[in-house]
Amino acid sequence: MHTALRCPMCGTMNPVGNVYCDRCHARLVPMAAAPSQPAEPEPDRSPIKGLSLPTIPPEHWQEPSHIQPGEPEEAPIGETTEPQAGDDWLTQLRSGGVEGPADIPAQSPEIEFPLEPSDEVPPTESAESEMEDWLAGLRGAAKEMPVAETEVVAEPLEPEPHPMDTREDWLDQLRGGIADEIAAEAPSYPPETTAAEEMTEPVEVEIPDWLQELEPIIPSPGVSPEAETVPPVAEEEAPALEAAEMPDWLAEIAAPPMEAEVEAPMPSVPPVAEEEAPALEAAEMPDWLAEIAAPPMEAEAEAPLVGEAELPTGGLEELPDWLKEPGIKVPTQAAPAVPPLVEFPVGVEATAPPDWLAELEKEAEISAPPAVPAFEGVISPSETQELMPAEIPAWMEALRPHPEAAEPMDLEPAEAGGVLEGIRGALPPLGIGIEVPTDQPPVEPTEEAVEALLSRAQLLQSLISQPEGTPVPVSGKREGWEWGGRIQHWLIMLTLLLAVVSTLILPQFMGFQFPPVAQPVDSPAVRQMYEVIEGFTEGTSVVVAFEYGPAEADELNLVTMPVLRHLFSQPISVTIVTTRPEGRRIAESILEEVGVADGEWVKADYHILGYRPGNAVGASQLLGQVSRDSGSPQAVVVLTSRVVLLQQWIEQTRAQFQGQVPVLAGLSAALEPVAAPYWATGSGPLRGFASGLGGAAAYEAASGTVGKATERFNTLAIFHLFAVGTIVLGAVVYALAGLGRKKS
Amino acid sequence: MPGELTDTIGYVGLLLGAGLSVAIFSYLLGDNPLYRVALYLFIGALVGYSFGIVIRDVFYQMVFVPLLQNPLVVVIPVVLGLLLMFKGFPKYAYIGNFSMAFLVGVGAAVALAGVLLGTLVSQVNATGQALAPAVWTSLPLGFLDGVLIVVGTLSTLMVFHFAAPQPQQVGGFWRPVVRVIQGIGRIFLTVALGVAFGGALTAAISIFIGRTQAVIDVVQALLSR
Repeated sequence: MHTALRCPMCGTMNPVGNVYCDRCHARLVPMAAAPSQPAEPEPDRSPIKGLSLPTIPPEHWQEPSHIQPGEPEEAPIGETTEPQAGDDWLTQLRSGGVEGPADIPAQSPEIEFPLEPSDEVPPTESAESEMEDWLAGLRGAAKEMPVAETEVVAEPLEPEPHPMDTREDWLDQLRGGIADEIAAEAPSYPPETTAAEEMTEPVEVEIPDWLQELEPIIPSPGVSPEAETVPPVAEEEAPALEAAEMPDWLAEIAAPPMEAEVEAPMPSVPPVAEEEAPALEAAEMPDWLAEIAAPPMEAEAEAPLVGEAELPTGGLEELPDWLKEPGIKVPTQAAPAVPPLVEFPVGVEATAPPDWLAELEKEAEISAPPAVPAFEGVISPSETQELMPAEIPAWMEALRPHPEAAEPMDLEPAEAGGVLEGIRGALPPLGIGIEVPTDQPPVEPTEEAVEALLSRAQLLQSLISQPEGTPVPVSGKREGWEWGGRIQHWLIMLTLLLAVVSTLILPQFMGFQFPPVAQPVDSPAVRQMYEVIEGFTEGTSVVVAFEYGPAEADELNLVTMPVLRHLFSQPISVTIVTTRPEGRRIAESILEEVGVADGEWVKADYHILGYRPGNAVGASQLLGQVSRDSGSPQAVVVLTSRVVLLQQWIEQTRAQFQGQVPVLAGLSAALEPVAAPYWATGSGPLRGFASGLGGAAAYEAASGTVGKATERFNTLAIFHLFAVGTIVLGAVVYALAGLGRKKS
Repeated sequence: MPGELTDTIGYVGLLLGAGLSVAIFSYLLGDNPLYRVALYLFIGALVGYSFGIVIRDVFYQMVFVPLLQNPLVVVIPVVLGLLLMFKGFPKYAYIGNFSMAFLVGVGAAVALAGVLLGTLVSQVNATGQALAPAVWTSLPLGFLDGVLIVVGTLSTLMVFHFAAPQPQQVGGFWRPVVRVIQGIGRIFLTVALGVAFGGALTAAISIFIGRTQAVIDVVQALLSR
């Protein structure tokens, strides 16, 4: 007769009235609702459904002889035949319909807790054959334990080995003893049945009040209203062992919904789904479920899966049709009634084995039991203690830090200056080398390679040894060259200033006349040009092309004016064209300056045809347009300072009129070498030209007038003298400098 | 009043021209901002004026007016001109290739005809006739001019002879001769380049004299007022 309750977690004996353990505060009394009557055995069995469960229950579960009506089908561990004295309070609780430990349904573990990998433990092997010595010893010690004063109904399942039987029998013995003890303290425990039996049993579940009220209206043929099938506890597990190996996630699954204080499942506990099935069905069965489930008892016997139990519940109106079909169970409000697998007391480490188990192990004198963690990643302190130290490989052992060997790191000196001042280790120390292991033999360097390396090293050393203040030449120009260039600029400026003052300013402001240096030269080209213009008859069409801009106007205007005066003094028709945009404005300004508009000497008429783009194409179009407007021109006068423009007019005139139309040109002095071949050989249409200020002066001389060209011709000659003198002076200085460099 | 305004504008123009001329001349002292201001102002004014001329003389007179009077005449040029504007967009620049092909083709044809007839054929013909007795009389120095023309032309052309040396047989004899002719040609080239430099210098001095004279005229006009 027990007067105390042993805590399933720590093994402490607590008074009977305690709900929680005084030491570890673990719940001592389960909270699952229990039926008042033991479940009737159901001969008809159906395959077990659930996750990780065998579909067919073991044969020893199915033996009819083993299952007695009105008795628990199987109670391998902890099954009690009748309530013990001193458990009146539990009997009262049961009779009053209060949930108590007797209402704890059979622990049909849904999840297996293999002590060993499943592949290593084939289900067909006998447990006895796999029993190890240490386990046998432990079992023997467990048999001798005086903890089980209650009658153990369940016998070792030797005839029919079960996969779960692969666990050691000592655990079964131990579990049986503990279960007996608990059963003795908790009377009216329902007869335990296996999960398979629960599945095959009719709906012997606890019917809620609301369902009981409906029972007269909805009779169930196979189930009496009073029949409250208590989900039997399949196995009374050793709480300490279960608690020691219970992972957190399982505790989270098992504890919150039911709050039934059940010992932690052993590794061989059957899946929870099998155990939860009757509880779910018995808890709160809705009408639709009762209607569906009552006639076909086989379907009712099927336990819902855990997943199904976790499905969100809802009203019937929210269920789809396929769920309303017979044979499909939809758990609704029954889920909360499912007793929990285990409930861990708050503040107690679930992995701590109880003292009695430690003592038991000591008695068993287990030298080195194979400590296989039930779940990966969850290792209790006891398991940690049992772990054998692994053999560390040599390469890993070499990496073991040796505090005594560690030497303090030498701090490098801090930078003394610069942006890195105060920073240590900013510059890598010299002499750091990385040895690269290689299997190849070292190559002997040749003498040439050594010499090359030495030469490079010497060069690098010389570069490094240069002082920091060594100036680096930025450009290739010598310093003296800049001064020489400046002197040249100043010398030229002084020469031009002297020429300007002597030839332009003094005569104009002081009446000083510089003696004439040169006279206009009677140029044959100019003479021929004059003769051609002079030979124009009345009505002759002459095309005048102004092909220069304001940048060249200071020179070409002097050439243009005598030619235009000569042209407009002839009774001809002048057509002014240009292929440069600014040519028209130049033409208008020079005609205005010459006085063509109101001059009495003007006998010719003119019109400005304007600008035509396209260079050679434009010139060809202009010639063609003039030919269409006023017939073929008798001459083309080109006024330009560009070689390309002169050539295009010569070539286009030659190409369009087959050399019958003469070309006259008033050119810049720079174009005289270009125009001379066309005129000298008489090969082209160029019949005469006047180039530069000298040609203009010559034309004025030929025409018997004195214009600006003649006035400035002497100035030009004097400038030539200054320019020639400067050139000669520079050549002499350069020659002397060259001689000096050669001597040095 | 208009006369005075015109005179005032004329004086302002003269002063502005004189100031810009002095700014350009300041380059003799080295590159300076005054020179750059005058240079940029001159280039900008020239481009702006040219753009106005193009709008007036080309777009208005040659495109817009004919487009109103007889559109069929300018349809193709206008289309080609519009296609040419796609050259401003790299993605669609190929569309302008039609106009560019037309321009390049026509330009090359016109220029080639002029070069062949106006320069190449005529120059070769003139060089060949330089030694003819009928031409001597028209040359200043007669036969000597003819010889200078022929020798100068051939030797100058031989300067640009870049054939590989052939020391065997005729090549061994011809190479020294070519070297002598190339030497003579270099003399002619040097003289021609000297003449070109002299002509350029003369042109520059002429322009400088003209500009300086313009500044002096402005100063004299201001002093005389």
